[in-house]
Amino acid sequence: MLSVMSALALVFVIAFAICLLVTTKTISTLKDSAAQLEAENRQLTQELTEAQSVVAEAQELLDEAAARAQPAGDGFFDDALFVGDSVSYALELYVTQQRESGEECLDEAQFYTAGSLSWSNLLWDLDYAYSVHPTFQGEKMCLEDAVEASGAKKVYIMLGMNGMADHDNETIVADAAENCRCILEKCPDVEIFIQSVTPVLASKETDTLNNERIESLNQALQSFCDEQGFTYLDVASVMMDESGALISEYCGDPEAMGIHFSGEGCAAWIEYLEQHPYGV
Amino acid sequence: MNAMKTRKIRRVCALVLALGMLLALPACGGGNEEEADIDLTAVMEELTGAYDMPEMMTVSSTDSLTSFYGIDPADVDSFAIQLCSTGLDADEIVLIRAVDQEAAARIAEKLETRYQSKLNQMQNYLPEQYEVIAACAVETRGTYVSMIISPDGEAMTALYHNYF
Repeated sequence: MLSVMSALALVFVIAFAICLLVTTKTISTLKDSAAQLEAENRQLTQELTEAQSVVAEAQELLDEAAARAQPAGDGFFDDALFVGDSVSYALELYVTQQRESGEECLDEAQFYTAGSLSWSNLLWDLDYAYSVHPTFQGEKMCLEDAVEASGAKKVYIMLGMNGMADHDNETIVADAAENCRCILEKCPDVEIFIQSVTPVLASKETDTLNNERIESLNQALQSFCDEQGFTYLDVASVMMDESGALISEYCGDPEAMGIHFSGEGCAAWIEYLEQHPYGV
Repeated sequence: MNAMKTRKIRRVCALVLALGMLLALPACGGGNEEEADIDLTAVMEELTGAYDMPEMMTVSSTDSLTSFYGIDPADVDSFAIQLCSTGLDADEIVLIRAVDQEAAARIAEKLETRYQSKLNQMQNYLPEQYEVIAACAVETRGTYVSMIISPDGEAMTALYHNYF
């Protein structure tokens, strides 16, 4: 009887030990699994957070793109400075006329324009005898100083027509780059908008000034803007007819150079700027 | 008798000299009490009416005085300005009366800058317009400052001088 009891006790102890062993191993396995699950969970959480961040950033870009696609609101051009040659000077005169007659026109935008101005001669020394630097509020100054003096936060530049006869696209774009560098060095917070060179009247095209050449330069300027993060404004797109020439009604000097705008042309230009402030 | 006559002549001469000096004194003051009071708007109407002009625009706001010329409106008593509205012709008529001669000097300096700028722009761009500008000038008469740029600039300036 005693040996049976002992044997049973032994069996019980062995069984208990086996159960304990199995349980311990099971618990250990479960713990390992739990740790692994926790690690995977942390990784998934991190990936989820990163994904949410990307989604938020994409949403922000979408919202910004949507905002940029909207027409310019009131006061959008208050802090704008328009830089250009005689084509832009005609715009300056048109805007001044509108304001003189009590009409709002391009908000409080200011101007820095001069006939014969180019990306190249803007880099000339101010004291050079043949300097054509515009004046800003009666004082002759270089481009970056005019940007600073105006307090502008948006600089709209339309240049390139003067210089096409003497320089290739690569040189013109290099000069544009240097001018933009000078602006940003002095005024790092400004936004730069490069406006396309506008077309010439079909009957006034020449070997050196023609719409094919202008289109080629505009493509180079657009690529430059894409590389530098500047905004390219395709003003030319609303100034040309189906052949790519300046719309005759928009031309203010059909008997002369065929490149300057009439009042109607200036109005079309301004409408483009107001409807496509970021060129989209 | 001769001595008395001589003394009398001397007294008369001295009196005449003294009177002459008294009359000359106001001219030394440099003030504009004698200056003509010219209606510059009327002058502008006559100038632009008498000669062929391109399409012109009137600048009448003090904001434009500053933006185009950098002239402080506080320096200006009255003005009349017209310029070619397309920018294709150099024609520009600026008639300004300053508040005083110091202001006139400042205004003349600003107009000289504008004048030089127009000259430089046109030199290699529109040579015929360069010639028009080169034949004209900025002028100061007392507190009146003018810049009359036109192919008829010489005749217009003569007409303007008639008002003085």
